[in-house]
Amino acid sequence: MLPVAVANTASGPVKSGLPPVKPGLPLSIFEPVPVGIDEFGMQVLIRLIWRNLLIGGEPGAGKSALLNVLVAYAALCLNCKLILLDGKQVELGQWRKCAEAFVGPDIAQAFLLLTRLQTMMDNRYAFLLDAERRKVVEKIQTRSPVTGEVIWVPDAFLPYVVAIDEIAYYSATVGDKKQRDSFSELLRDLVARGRAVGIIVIAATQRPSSDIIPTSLRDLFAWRFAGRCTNDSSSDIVLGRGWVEKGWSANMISPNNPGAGLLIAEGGSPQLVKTAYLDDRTCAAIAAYAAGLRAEHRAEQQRNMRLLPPAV
Amino acid sequence: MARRKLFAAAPVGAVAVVEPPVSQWYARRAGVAAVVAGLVADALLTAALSVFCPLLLAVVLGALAGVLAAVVTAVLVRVWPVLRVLWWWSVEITVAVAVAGGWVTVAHLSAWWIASVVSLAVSLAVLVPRRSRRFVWAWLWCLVVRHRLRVCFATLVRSQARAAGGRPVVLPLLLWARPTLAGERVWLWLRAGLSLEDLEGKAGLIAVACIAKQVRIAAGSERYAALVRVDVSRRDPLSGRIDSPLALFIPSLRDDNEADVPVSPAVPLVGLELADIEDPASEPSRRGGRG
Repeated sequence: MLPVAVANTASGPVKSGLPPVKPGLPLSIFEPVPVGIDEFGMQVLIRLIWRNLLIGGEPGAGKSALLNVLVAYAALCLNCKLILLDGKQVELGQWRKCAEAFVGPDIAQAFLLLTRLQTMMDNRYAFLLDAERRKVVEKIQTRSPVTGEVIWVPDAFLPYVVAIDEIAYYSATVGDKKQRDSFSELLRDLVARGRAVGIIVIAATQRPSSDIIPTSLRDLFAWRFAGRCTNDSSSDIVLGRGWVEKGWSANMISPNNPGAGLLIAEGGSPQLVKTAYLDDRTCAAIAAYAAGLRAEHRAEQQRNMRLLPPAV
Repeated sequence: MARRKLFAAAPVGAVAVVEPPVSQWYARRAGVAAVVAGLVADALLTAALSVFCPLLLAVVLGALAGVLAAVVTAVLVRVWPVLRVLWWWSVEITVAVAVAGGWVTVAHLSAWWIASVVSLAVSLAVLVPRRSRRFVWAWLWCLVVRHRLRVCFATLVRSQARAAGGRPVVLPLLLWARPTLAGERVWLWLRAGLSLEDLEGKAGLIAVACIAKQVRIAAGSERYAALVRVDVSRRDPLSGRIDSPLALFIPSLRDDNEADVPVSPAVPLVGLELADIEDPASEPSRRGGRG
């Protein structure tokens, strides 16, 4: 049995300034994800599916907090899988029991994981080509083999959320140059081609300049979040060239306000937002709950598989 | 000419509800509108009645209807500025009438002091609890902001009105206003002669008019350029911590303070200090890093 369908907003220890997420558990990665509030106190939602997000900002700007909020949402979605890469281990480590793969400070493992993802991506494209389709969707229309009625069923494969904290660790710090370049090339391929088959890359780094990640990779991220930056140049590197001239600089954000930043998403132009924050206890509780939810879902799927009549 | 004296013959000391140039413009417009409405009504009704009755009777009835339509149209157009002012203050007028009407009704049914006590009790019940007081205060600010925006826009586009040869200022239509955590959000429908670009450089002036710290003006719709969103900001909602709504889903977080997570890690407390770490063996090669 799945947990309650709608969040109970009755008074309790948890106080949230935001309305509850709809339509309740389990969540869907195809729905907009709440990330925080804008400067007018209105809830900010971004749609992750078929998108990639680059998070930048100085240390302590709230990059990992935003990453945790997005990963927490994805963890509570049963229609997506999680891949986590974290050089520091602890930022995303709490979600490892919800994830299909978790890689710590090991570039060899990271490389192997991205290689497998690339192969999976190619296989998915081959499937879509054969099915005369162009992208993964939440539900597809088909005809029931039992009743013959037209029904909506989940797509043949699920989206993957690939969250990478401190991308610079893999692309510019550890390993030899060949490993780092291979990592960057693989990641660029996933970001460039993975959207349609549901590979959502969310990458965080302090300053995504060309010596940290290749410009060709950075420019592929359509959506950007810039936490406080130390100067206007860094802000433009995260958000894209030209925004400082138009008056949008993440350098203007107070260093005493972590989580505040400029987000380029649905509207196409930056908006000042404050991302939600999940403390360690809340993260751990959500992660434990999400892990249970996913285990229960897997068990239910296995039960359903056993109930299916054997193929003739 | 009698029409034009509707507002011109004001007694000494009277407050001008509508400015004289605007009043004259509406008077001219009322005349034109009356003639057009009268002729159209006359022609249409005459044509329709000619099917059912003799032509002469149809002409006479059509002429009467035309005169009636012309008078109604002239009066409506002529007093439109007054109707508009009444519409602008409709919420305040409604509230005032409801409060006064309620007091008078209760006073008639019982006594005046009972009505006063009831009014006081209702006022205290609304204004003393913090939540309801903030609710009322926030919506009051919405009313104030609508009036301030109207005054501000009237000032901003007055110069355009002069350039247009005495034509009255076509103010943006103020649609819905609602409170936000930072202040208020107002939706406007721009009329011909104004665009979002005209307003973008005036955000500072609008903020001053709205007694606010900052105002942001943005397009309110991808479909209509006329729909504009004005966000009035008087507080900074970004200063505090924002909790994620996801936590509300988790029973252990929702119901009590006990988190169902281990408090003591299973990892032994060894090697957590620098003194516990031995010097590494000599590097086998300069290639490769920690990976």
